[in-house]
Amino acid sequence: MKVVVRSHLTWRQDLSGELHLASGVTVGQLVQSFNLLWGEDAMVVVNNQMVDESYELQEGDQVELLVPLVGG
Amino acid sequence: MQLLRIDMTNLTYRYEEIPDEDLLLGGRALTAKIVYQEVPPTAHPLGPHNKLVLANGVLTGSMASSTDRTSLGAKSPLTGGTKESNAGGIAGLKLGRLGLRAIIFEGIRDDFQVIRIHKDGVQFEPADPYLNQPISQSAAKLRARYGDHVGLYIIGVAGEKKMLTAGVSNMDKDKNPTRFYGRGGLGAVAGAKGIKALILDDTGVERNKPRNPERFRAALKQYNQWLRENPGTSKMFPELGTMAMLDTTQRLGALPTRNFSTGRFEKHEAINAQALRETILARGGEGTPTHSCMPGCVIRCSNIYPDKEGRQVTSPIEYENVSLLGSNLGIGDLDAIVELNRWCNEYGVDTIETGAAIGVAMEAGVIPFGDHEGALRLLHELGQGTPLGRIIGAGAAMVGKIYGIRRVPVVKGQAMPAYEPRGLKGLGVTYATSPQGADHTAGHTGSAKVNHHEAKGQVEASKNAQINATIFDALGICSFASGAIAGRYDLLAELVSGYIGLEVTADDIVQMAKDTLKTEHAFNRGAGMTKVHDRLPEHFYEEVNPASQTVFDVPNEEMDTIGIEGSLA
Repeated sequence: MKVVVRSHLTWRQDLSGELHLASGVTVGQLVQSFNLLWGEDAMVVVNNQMVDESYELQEGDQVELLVPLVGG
Repeated sequence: MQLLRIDMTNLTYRYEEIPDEDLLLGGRALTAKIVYQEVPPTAHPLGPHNKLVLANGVLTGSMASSTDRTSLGAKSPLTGGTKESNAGGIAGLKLGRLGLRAIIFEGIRDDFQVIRIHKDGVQFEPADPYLNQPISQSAAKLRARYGDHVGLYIIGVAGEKKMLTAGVSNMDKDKNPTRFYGRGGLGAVAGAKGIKALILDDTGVERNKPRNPERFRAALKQYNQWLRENPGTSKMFPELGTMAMLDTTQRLGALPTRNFSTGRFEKHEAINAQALRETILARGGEGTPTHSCMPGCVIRCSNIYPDKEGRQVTSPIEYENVSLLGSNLGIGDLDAIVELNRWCNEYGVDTIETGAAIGVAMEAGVIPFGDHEGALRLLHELGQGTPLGRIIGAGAAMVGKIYGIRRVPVVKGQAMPAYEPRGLKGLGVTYATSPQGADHTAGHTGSAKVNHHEAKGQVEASKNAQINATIFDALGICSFASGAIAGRYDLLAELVSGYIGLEVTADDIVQMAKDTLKTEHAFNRGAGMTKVHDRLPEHFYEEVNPASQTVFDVPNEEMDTIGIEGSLA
């Protein structure tokens, strides 16, 4: 299964690109594999929609890692 | 540690000792307690019975990074309830060096005074040479008169005219008088008391020292390490500042646009963090994208924005400014937004409240959305005190009433900051239920593990965020450190214990925050507030935010569990 990751984190541009994953992987597991804390290190959107960590990734999903909202 | 009480009617003062057992009360916790105990909740905010309280955070002056914030509190003329607004800068450091945890200003007067506090006491001088002029001009004159080393609190013409948008400013470490206690109209309370400026002269005073240096140093080492390790505090804020939020809120549909009518702005790429950084770097000169407001701060979220010739225009340009004075007004030009921001600073008004007020005026057709020259004209009318300027200067709720506009983004009379509540529902809960009125710093839910477009989990997220925010506000820690420190209250307890020399636990700190929220709600109940005031304007429940495709649908009954009649009250 292929998903596309786009990182808006200027300090983790290395995460952008195509990934091949086994089926059944959740977006929470993917973010964890990047060594990022959900919500605290990145806000995550899949296919322009907010999702929970338990969302199971599908073929062709577009995962965006956004700068977390910590105030401002 | 002492408390200084100044009677502005009679221009007299007295010092009071703060008992050791009260040293855990600082910042917002202290302003809330004093306002609750000493101000009748029915008092007129601009009258003789209101008090203006300036209080250092518990750690302010300790020289730990990002801990030099000071709180200003009073009964708010904007919300009618208790109010606390805090800022960084250097004045808190000076206040602490003078041995003061807090100053309570009492009484009112018709003229304006400059109050100078030094190691031997307090002096009063007429403020006539500093009135009716831009803050940068009066601040420069005050520095020339009292010395370049002093700390300074100052109001602008808006405060002199007692406008509800008026704030109080102090200087950053580079003497820019642009660090605002902006929210709640506290500049009008200062104006009513005749306080034009407060000078803090720490000549001949030694720096503060922790009472238990070994314990403090050990905790500080861990604190600094966490700040360095966290991507937000070590990379995001130094590089992009608070403007980093803009692309995310745009994506979520939570970027206030054209009077909060939607959550995405079509010109966002012209005003986002990248555009700001590239503009600053390309122009060079006095500009810098990375700057600190407090000495020793490692986060350095501030910046200095230069003009095309590289001369400083203002500092800082932040996400709240760019949203409320930019996308919220349909303005997609950084230079135009910066000019509006600069004049807000010069007249001494809250950029959030003023941006929201102009947004409502645009909805009313006073000027069209996108008209930056018209917006600047309205701002100058505010500075001149014309009737239209006074309407804008009275804040968003008042503009809505006068022009018959029902879509007004306020709670408890105070304008919403730059997070559209249908696109970020936890913030909507905080806006509704916080005793402070619509205020993102009262409990930011942006990093909570919730789906921000759904109602589920938002009340719990807001409750936790409100307690956390109160802790930071009371200790004097910048909320931008929260990414690295939030929830690690054992470390904060160690820092506090080492600094004030008392045995303080994490539970003590959390309890102090809960007690503070209860005190604030109790004051508001006395001022006549009920759960009716814990609601967003009705159109947010009924009209879809086109960008997020959501309405605000967190059930009122659930919000009531943490509002003025709920568990935090």
